Amino acid sequence: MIQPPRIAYLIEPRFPGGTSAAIATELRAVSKTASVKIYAYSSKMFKGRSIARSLAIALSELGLEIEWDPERIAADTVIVHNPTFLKFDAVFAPKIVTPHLIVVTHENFTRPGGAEPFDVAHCLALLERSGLALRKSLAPVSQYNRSTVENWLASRSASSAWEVLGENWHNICNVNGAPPTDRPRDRRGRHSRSGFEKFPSMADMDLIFPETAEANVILGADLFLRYAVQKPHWQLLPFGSVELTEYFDMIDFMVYFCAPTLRESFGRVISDATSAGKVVITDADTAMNFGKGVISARPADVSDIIARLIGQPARYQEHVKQAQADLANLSADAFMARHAAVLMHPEVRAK
Amino acid sequence: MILVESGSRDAHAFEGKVLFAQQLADLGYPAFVDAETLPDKMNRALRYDIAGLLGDADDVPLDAVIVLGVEALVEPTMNRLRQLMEGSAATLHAVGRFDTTQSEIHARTRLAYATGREPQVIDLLQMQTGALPIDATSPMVFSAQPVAQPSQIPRLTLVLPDDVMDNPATLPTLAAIDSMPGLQLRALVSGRGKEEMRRSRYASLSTLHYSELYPAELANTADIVAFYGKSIPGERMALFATEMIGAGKPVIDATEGSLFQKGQAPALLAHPDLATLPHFVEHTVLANAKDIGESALAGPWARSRDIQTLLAQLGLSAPRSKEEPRTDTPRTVFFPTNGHGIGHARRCSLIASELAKPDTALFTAFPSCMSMIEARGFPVVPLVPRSDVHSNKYASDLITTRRLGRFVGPGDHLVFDGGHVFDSILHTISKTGCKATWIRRGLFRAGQLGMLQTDREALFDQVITPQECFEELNTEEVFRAGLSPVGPIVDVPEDVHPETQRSALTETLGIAFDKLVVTMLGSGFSTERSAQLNALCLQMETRPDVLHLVVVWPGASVAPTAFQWNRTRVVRTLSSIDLCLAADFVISAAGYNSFHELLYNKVPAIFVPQVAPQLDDQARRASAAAERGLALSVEADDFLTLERHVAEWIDTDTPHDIRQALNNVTLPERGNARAAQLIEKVTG
Repeated sequence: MIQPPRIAYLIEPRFPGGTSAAIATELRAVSKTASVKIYAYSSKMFKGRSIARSLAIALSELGLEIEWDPERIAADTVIVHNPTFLKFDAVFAPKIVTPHLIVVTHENFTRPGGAEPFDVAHCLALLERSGLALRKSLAPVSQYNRSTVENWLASRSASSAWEVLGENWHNICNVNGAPPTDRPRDRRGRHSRSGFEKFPSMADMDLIFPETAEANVILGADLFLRYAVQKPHWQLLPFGSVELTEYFDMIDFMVYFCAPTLRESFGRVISDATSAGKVVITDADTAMNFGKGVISARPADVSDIIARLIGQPARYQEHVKQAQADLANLSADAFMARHAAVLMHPEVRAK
Repeated sequence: MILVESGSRDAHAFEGKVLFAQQLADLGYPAFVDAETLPDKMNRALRYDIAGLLGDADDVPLDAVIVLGVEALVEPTMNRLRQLMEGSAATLHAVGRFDTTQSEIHARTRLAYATGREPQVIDLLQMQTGALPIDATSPMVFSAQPVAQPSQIPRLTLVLPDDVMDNPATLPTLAAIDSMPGLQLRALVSGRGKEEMRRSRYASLSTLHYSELYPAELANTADIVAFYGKSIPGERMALFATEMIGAGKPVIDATEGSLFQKGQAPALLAHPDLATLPHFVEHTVLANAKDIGESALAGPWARSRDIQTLLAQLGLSAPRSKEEPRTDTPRTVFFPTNGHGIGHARRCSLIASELAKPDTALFTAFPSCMSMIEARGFPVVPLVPRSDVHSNKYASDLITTRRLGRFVGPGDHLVFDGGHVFDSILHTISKTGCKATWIRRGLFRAGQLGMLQTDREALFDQVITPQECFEELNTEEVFRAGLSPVGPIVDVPEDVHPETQRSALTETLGIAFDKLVVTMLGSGFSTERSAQLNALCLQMETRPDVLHLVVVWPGASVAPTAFQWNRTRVVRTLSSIDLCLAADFVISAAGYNSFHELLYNKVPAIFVPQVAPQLDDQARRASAAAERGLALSVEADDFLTLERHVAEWIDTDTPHDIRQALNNVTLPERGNARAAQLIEKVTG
């Protein structure tokens, strides 16, 4: 009898946003073909927080139990998601014994300009020192993320024990896209968590959400609300105050730019909008992760692009359909096929 | 402009950024702190600290933004910086203390996210050797001062936290050290410590709260500092020690646990028992002060805390040149307090007139005194008087601090005349290092001596105490060391023509008279005198041969009823003595100036002493003259006696007899010229 491969996940299940959602989706896919074991590490970073809801639901559905703070983790493959959870910890106690240790780099290793967003070397060193692994891999989640990982490694003078996987360890996206509207209107929106890093300058915000638009819906506008930003033509909604489906009903264009000192490592909000049947306009680095359907632009060009697409509904629909087709590359099947060498038993891989 | 910001918004961080902004401002950098970040509650000292540093960051072109304590960056600061940096060409600098690489990256990243640009980050833990055990926001750097020998009498400052002040042996030991002629002592204590000191029998010891002066000002006015107790009481005191080391002055570590030594600071270890200090200072510190200072300054701890090192790292361009230093003759800047009249200003103007170079005198004075001073030929810089409409009781003194800062420089001589040494005086002297004289006069009543700010005497190079003309009125404080008594400071006009004055009055007022009576009962601020005034006016109304002048200074309040009489006229004047010299007699309160002017100008007077609790002992003064037959004294509420004496003085030759007695008495020499000489001696 063929034993399914043993895959151990080492996670910090209290990541509140995209990381936990990505892990949840991945577990649903991987557990179909592998024997999955979940280990959790209680880091200083999320002390006092509870497990992310999306992850808790997935674990419950899959009947997976969490083993907290194990002394030893042994499996055919050990996958560590998002090593940033170790950034505030001075020591990392668990011993990892595996032929292959994969660290999924949910966050970029450098920011635009080259500065590190977290102490990458420290986090990797903690894992490196704790692990007895024949192979240690870094798994970027996107093309842009890959470039930051490779640049970071290249900037290290000492030879690294880490290799970079050839295929991206992308977030698994919903590819069952909603149809685009055939009468697009100048209804714009954006959604994200409310951190400063998620927003461009106010000058750019004014360009991409102008008074002339029929609607400017900003979901995750907690900071603007807290500091009483006076923009009567903006509809400011706190993060989580409406369901995404309700929010997407309010817009036709998702216009997403963040601070110039940040780039999204993956851009889950982009895939959300694409799945919802919306045209997405974003910066070139972020657009690169999703294919041609997602429109790459500068803030100053956004209004012209929107005006053009409103005048050409067919072009609008083409953009959405192209983007949704590109999302197929980020499906669960694509993910499993891409990482069969790691995630499937040799017999299964042979088929 | 350079905005100095702090990561945290708490009061402690605010103080830290104010301390560094002031250091930059002292070096001529256009540094300021954002008015929007003012804490909700501020103590008095902090208000003085920020008076010259506040700015509205929205309205100021920013060249650089320096964020201190960036490791404690909070969201409101991030939001404010986001607003200010948007579209600005200012450079962004972050200064902090990072115990891990991650903490530095964390701070850098948060600032970069908030502002959309990459800050320059400076890690003080990397830059500086050792660290004192305090939670600091400011970079704890010093502006290097030249190594200086101690002043002639070394100024010893002690930093005494509450645990030291709680020791019952502390105050007597301090008093013993203070009595040593070879040391000038100053204690720096907490608010509680200061209050305990004030209530004790040792209230005259020179004492300041930790926060009353900037650390650099404390260092300017100290030669040696010794730290005691279980802790270094906060960032200001640690910065004071840093400034002292930077100035090449000895710092003594007598803390329990040798806190400076643990922080690798070049401080001299001493026994924590205060009683052992004098010998240690005399035989170890003073004997080697220069070597100690130079050695400390040359070491790695000090070198890593030179503000120039930090400024070089920040890459700030050289400051705009500060205002060109004045090259004219040093000024003697008189600052007469307002009091309840214009007596302080009159006294100062009399002294200034006696200066060998009166044109070096400049007055800073309140509006009520300005015309009088200008009439005597001196330039005046106006000050803002206290007002109930101000938001706090020291708002006007904050403006005075700023104004004195503009007109008093290091080579000048500040001459203050008043009873209460304002904080503006404290700051001006400490900041500029100017010479300073305190003219302090007073015939204090029992219970008032404790109100004297003798603890601030040490600020001044000398204290001139104008004396009373009668010996028994001069209190025992005359014999205290450090005081310079001078004779009464009195105006005695030389070119006097009483008859001409009387003719002019008849002509001007259109009232013929045979007898002229002048009443000067005071300004009305301290004591309500309208009842006596009405009684006198009524009495004079029945005297067709009498002209009754109610003489007040221009700012005084006068009851409306004083204007309704036929034989009485109200005269507002700054030179009452001219009218008094023309009068047959004067009915007057017994304030120092009026009293002595009447006696020295041989004017017969009936004194009606004011008795308000804040005034000096007018009753004793009036009695002393009356007992000598040189005047009459009538209690304020004794209306019938006053009426009887006034009638008698109008109807008889009593005023003539009194004038004779005054002509025959020998009064002490006036002190006008002597006071001027003493001032010039200090001026040099």
